[in-house]
Amino acid sequence: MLKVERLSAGYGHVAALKEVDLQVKDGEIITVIGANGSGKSTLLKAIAGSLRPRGGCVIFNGKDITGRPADRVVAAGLCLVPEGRQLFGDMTVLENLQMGGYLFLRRRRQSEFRAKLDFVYDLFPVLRDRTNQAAGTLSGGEQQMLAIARALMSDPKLLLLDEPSMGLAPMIIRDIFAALRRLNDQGLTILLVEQDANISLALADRGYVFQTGQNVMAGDATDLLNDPAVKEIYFGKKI
Amino acid sequence: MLLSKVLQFVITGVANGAIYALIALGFTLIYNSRQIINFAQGEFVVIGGMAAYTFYVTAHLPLPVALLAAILVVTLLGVAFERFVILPLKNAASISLIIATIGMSIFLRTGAMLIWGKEAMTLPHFFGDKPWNIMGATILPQQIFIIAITLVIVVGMQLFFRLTVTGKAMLAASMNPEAARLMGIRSERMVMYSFAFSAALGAVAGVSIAPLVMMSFGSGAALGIKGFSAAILGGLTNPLGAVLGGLSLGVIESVGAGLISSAFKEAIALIVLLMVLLIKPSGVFGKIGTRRHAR
Amino acid sequence: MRANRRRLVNWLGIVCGFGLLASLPLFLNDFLMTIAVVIGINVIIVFGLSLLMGYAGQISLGHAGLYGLGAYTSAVMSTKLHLDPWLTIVAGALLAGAAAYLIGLPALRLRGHYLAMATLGAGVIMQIMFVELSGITGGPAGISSIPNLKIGHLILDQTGAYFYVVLAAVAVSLWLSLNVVRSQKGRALRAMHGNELAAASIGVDTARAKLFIFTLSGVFAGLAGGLYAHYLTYISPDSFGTSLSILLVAMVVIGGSQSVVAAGLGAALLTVISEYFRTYQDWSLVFFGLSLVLVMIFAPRGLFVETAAVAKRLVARVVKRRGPVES
Repeated sequence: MLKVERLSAGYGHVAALKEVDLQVKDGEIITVIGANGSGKSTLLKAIAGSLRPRGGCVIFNGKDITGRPADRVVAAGLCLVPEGRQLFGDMTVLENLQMGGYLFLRRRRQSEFRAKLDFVYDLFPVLRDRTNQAAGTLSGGEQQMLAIARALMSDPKLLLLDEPSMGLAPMIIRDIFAALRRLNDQGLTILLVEQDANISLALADRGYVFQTGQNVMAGDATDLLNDPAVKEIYFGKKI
Repeated sequence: MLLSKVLQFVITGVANGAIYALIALGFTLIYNSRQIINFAQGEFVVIGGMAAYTFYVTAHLPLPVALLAAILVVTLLGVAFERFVILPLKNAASISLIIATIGMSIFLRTGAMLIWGKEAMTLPHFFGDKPWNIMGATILPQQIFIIAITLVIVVGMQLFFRLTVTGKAMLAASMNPEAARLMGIRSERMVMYSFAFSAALGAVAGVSIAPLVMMSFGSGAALGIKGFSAAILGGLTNPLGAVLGGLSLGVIESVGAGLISSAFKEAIALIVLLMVLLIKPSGVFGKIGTRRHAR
Repeated sequence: MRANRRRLVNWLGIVCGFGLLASLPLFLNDFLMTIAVVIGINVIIVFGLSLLMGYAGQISLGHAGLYGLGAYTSAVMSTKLHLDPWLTIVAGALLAGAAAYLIGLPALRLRGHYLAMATLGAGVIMQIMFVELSGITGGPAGISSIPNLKIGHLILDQTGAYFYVVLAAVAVSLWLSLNVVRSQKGRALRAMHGNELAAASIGVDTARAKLFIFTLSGVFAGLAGGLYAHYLTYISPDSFGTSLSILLVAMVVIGGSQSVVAAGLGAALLTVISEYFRTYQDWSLVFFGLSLVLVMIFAPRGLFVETAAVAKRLVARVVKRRGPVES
């Protein structure tokens, strides 16, 4: 479904991502783990169109979407849940979800919007309870659920998540990851970038390990989970 | 009678204030979407009035058509301004943007002078010039129109931004353009709409006030400063505040001119501006009607 | 060693430049010399403004007011109090500096657009005062018969002679400006301009530094005003309006705010252009507005700074081509 080949990207003088290769097959959950500054977020931004790549290509379902701006990538069926959630804090839960479903609402596809809305409310019932509350007043876990729900509103085939566990309590993380598992069972492909290697490798089918902008290890999630080399990478030792 | 005098001040003040409110809304819209102050806003007002004059007097178009044509022309001007000046400066420092909008205002003002000359122009009153009498105070039909149209626009804007999808998308794009893009919202387009909207507001103000005021190419500066003072009074990001700021400024000006001296009138807006900037830059009406919540 | 050599070259350049300028009265006619005097006066203001904008990262759209304050102070003191013009010019500079200090105290707490507006307002109010306080200032008619500067028995009423006074003042201001730039304060300011939070965290008193520069720019403007008053011997409020403030900022921005010298060149360029296009003032204003926009889009660091950068790159490319062959 998604093929990333020799993708490079950076900010100013910094090359945050250096010729990275990556693959996501239909129906998989792939995770990218690594320490801070390893380029994981940059990868997602470069794929989703928030950042213009400097080299390489991104192929999604056979279409070359390299360098496409974010608003056109969503239309292709790929949606990013950004780092730090980036909710519209002054808008209500419902309004945030309306923004998520902007592409449907703009084309007056009300029934599809309603269907998606019911779907995400079933997935995260607490959002239905808080539907008219300002997003900024929600708890951390609720905000993360809203951010994911908002991304789901555009009916993506591939969901990208940038560090969803950040700042959340373990119980909440477990609930959210359980929801992700359910979504995957229903056919959603997921690319998950995480700081917490344990929970993400427990969820994923396959994983990639990043260090200083490069892909240094890849394999089945269970293998990586038990591999001592992964721990070494985390603590900064080079492979 | 004292009551009728006070009433007169209030009526004149509110009518003028409505114009300031429209101009202030223009500033607020642009500041919300792009965090810059549009130094050329006053010019949109004046060009609106003068274009209407040309369409009505020179081209002999019926008055309503002339007015709409003028508003359309200025709206397109606003779009051109955004595309050719603001968009290229997407990542520039705020000083660059300040200078660029100042340059634009000089360009527009001098352009207006070259096109329309230095004479002042005026339009006929839209609904006749027979004053009405309310408890001893007089009000012109044009002033009633100004207040009415401002009300309609303000209510319309609130409905647009709070209830329609495009309105909310514009709000979202101004809150967090990057996040909005991730939802498929074209944040750059939304900025363009804000500028178009803001120019249109200026033009409406210009054509509405043209029958009451002799407008010439240089009138934009004073109107711009007054509109800006009103916007700052209302907290530069709050549309409702901008309206209240405009009305307050109009009334303060009117009362000040009546009680102290009319020469003082021009300085009032300036004094209000400086006082707000130096004492409470976030505005006096900054928080009215907003749903500001901690993130 | 390199740095010292560069310093030497710079100083040599400056000395040669001034030498060249000093010889101007010998072969330029009166009209051109008048322009030279006006350029010199504008350059002094612009040095101060470029320190404010380029180094302290602030903006002022009201400097014409401070300029006028210096002019009026010197004019009033020399005509009404019959004090020596040399003294009154200094007094004007100091008073303008004090005014800048008082304005800067509250205003510099504001940022970007807000500061621009506040200074714009301050400038307009100063101009209104020049008109309204007619008892002191002579109202809209201004003040005339301002006494000339004198050295002993020599009355400096000839443009050529006055040029040397202005040139000396420019030299002094340049020296002061470069000192500020090179000093601890200047480096601290540069750091601050890049990132105020970072600078504050290493102990730079950003508020104090900004206020100091603002005050200094006021002193420069006041000095220029005094020089202007005793040159023209007549001043009126019209000369000290917002359009001049904008023109001054344009000089800094078009020349290059990061370099005092570039800003000075910008002042020279714009003064010459505005003098030559005085007859076509309307069209020239249209182009002025347009050029502000274009410079901001295409040469944001200033014409002279950008051209210097381009020149440097071209030279580097030529040198590379002539360099040693790779083995």
